[in-house]
Amino acid sequence: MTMPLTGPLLCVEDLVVEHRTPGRPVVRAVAGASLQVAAGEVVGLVGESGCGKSTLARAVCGLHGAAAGRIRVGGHPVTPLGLRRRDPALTGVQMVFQDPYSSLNPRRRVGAQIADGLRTAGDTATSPADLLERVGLPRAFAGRYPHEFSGGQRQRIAIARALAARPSLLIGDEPISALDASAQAQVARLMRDLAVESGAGLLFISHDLSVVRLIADRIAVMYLGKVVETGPTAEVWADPRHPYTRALLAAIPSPDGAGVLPAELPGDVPDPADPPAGCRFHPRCPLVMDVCREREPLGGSAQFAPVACWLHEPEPSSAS
Amino acid sequence: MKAESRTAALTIEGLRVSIGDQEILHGVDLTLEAGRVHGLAGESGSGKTMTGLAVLGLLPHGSRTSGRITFGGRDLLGMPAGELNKVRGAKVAMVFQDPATSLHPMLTVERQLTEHMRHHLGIGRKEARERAAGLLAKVRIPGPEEALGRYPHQFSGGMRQRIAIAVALACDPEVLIADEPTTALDVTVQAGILRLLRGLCDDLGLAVLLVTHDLGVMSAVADEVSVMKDGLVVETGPRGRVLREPDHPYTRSLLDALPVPPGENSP
Repeated sequence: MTMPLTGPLLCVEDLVVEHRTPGRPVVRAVAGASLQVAAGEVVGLVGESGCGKSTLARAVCGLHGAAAGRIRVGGHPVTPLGLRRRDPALTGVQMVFQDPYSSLNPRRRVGAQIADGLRTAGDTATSPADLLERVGLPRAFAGRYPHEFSGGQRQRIAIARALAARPSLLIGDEPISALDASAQAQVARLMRDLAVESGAGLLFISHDLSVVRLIADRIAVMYLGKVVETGPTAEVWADPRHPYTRALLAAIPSPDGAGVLPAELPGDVPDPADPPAGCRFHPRCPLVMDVCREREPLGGSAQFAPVACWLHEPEPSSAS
Repeated sequence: MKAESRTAALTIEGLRVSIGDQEILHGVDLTLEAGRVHGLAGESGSGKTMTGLAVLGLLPHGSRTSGRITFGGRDLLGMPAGELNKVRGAKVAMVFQDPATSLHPMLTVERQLTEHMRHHLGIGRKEARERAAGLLAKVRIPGPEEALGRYPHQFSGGMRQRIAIAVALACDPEVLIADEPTTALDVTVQAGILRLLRGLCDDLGLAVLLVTHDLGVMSAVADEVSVMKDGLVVETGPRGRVLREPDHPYTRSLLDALPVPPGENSP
């Protein structure tokens, strides 16, 4: 759709991220996920909590090392963040974190924190007040401290700080889940508008499907460390193909006043340290077949894109 | 229980709450009926949670109240603390938004389920334990006996909220106040909790006050819906009417503000 000829801005291929805790089995939070974000495109990454969405985002940002697979931003491989100065090519990746109560430094004025971003980009023309204005806050707020603001305002400041660094890729890791309901849609729209306006890609992670539907061009559904379905938002919404996507959408209660209880997806997300054999979704899948218990449809790979499910197995001719 | 004439389990009349110089609730009227779910909708800051907290006498320190909250023929607002303690947790129970913080992280599930049960019902340790296992089975926790010995962190968010509901149900309450019980949960888990709440309400004849900002959740489980704005109930009525043909312009604007326009998803 909006894919430019130069290739995607962010390209994640078969990414594996592992959490190691002494005395516990290794947890593969991300187990071979692939994802692409083009410049100027908004991709919504959805899934239940514990499916590895945030870990994927942190790996893209360099906050987590990858155990296998590749992450490239604008052709540059992403290396884990260390003590040394960040490669200037990678300062274009900026993140807005979940909790604006802990992501801003409480002891520094917000203007100074936004100025950090400007310094990163080598921008001397813009002042922090300009950025506050862009996120819809009065210019005079630059001299205040984070505790003087509400959650929604703080998240706007965090967005201003991320934008100050002139990002080519903006990542929002559940940026709205800590906010009040009335502020959620506003902040999500603001992020979309500002990212698209500046030509940056936006990877928007949320478990709130209704907001993702509102702002995302494309949607990627993640389950237990794998991307199981990707597609244009409207298409996925109108015709979800993976049984998990269907279950996820069916669980959203609709405000029609009919009193219909949403469909329940039985069971819990399995322990990522001990994923089920075969398709990872098979113990909860209503349409499970024999093949699902034995062999895994390789999600995100060329063979099974865009739906990692045996129900949507591609023609054998295209297989390896 | 009489089926035809509905019994008012709890009535709130002209409830006013002020903290400092600011009046937060300006006369709220609500009636909860046994076996019915009453939904309380509204934006954040409209006073939904305050209404729920006022019923249990859990308002912030220094707040002043007036009006009446009638439960079992008595006014909860004017009740001495000792008397109120006999009602709280026993007859009127509450489920909070975040199960990660509403359960005590260092006490076993058994302790959290039986402590108030033994106090209010005056039963022995063994009986309390049996009841607790039964409650966990009722809220569909797999392996209730083993679950009793575990700690909250060993459960997922949805399971924790189920445990929190079991804690609230331990003393056979007549009124359950659920303050955003599914907001912190995933949609798939939310669906399970909503089904559970609806089932408990139908089976046990509980009167449920469901505080939520999510009109979808409201539409799924509530029988009656009240909409709050700036400390006042602006509209009350049966679910179907309030959500389909709202009288008040504010309800209309709430519905219009939804990301998914109503009716678009319905076939």
